[in-house]
Amino acid sequence: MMEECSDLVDISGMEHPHPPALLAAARAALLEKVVPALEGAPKFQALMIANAIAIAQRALEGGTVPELPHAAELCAAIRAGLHDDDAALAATLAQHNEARCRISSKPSR
Amino acid sequence: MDEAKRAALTARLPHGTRITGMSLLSGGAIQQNWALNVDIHGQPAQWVLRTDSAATLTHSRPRGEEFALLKAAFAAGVAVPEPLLLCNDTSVIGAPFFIMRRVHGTAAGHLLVRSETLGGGREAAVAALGRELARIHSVKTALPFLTPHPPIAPMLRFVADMRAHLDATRTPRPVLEWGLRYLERAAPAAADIVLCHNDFRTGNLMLNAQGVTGVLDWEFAAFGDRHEDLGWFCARCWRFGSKHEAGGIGSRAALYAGYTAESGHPVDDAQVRLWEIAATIRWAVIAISQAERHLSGAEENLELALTGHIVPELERDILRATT
Repeated sequence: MMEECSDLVDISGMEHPHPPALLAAARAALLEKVVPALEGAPKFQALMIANAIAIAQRALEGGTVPELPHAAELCAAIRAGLHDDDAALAATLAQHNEARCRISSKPSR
Repeated sequence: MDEAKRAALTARLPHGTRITGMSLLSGGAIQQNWALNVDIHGQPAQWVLRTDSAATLTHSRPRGEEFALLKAAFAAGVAVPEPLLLCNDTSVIGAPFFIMRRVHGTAAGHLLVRSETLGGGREAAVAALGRELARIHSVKTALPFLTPHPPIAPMLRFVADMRAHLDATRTPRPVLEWGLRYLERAAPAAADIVLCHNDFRTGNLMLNAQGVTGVLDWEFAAFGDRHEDLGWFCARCWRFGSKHEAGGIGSRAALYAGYTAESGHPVDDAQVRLWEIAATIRWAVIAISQAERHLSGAEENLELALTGHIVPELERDILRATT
């Protein structure tokens, strides 16, 4: 399964509409033209597809979210009690988490 | 279910019982539930037959154990479907099954949290749910298949379990480690050990206009701290977007009052809030493992894949509760 993406996606030379706009159009078509005709399990599937498109669209538009540096070592240090009450680390974690939420979560919150 | 299975099933039912209708209610990857309409000497009755799906891959709790848990809960006065008959003989319908009385009501979380009337109104509903939880925690029936709680504080046991799960996954999770360390430092030295349901949350609880009609899904029942179930119920991730802090349905005060009225045990709000952090971590670990089932190719499925994307929001809840 292809999982990796380049950190920075430069789409300026791609044909218009650019892929994020294309995803937005695909999602709108799904929600406006397809979902109203569905019920039950197929409707649930279609709404999940719309949700997945929204996440992919935000990822293309939303810049980069690198992994925290030395994340594995950081985990071990937290577990060992080396970062108890470390307000600076808490702030770093919160900032990183906000970037992750901007991609994965609905923007309403 | 074909004619031969239906005939074999009828032969196992009490004398004079005739199957008048049968339809699949829900077919999960693990269990199947069949609505069974029967006629017993002229009296109609509505039952549910619960059995394993053809391809049971996971180590789900055997039907016989689930049946024993339901019996113990029913005897303690918990609102569960009355368990009627267990059959471990796989030659009847191809897998072990049990039959319980069918209960009626609404369980869907998004409907429950929007209703002002189900369960007799929000405050009455959560008070009734508090009483149900108290009755579950009062179960004293010997259930030999349940592992005794180890001689360690339940919260420390939880921290150790979650760390073991995280060690087996591919991605480092600093926020979950941060939350677990917070719990490790805050954990009380000891707690009463009671039978916990361990999945007592909106979505698994059936209500009608009058009250609670069914506490469902006993798959995860185990011994633990009484505040564990209260925290799982109140955690923000199980409120379905509602502002009401007890399960998205009503107030904490009403839930706690119902619990205390039935059990005689006061609820320690600080402990419930610690167990809410634990609940959020537990749900994140489950979500990670569901996404992993998709990522590994074991079960490619969009629902599992999207479940992974709720983890950042759960991590946000953990950070907000611990900083």
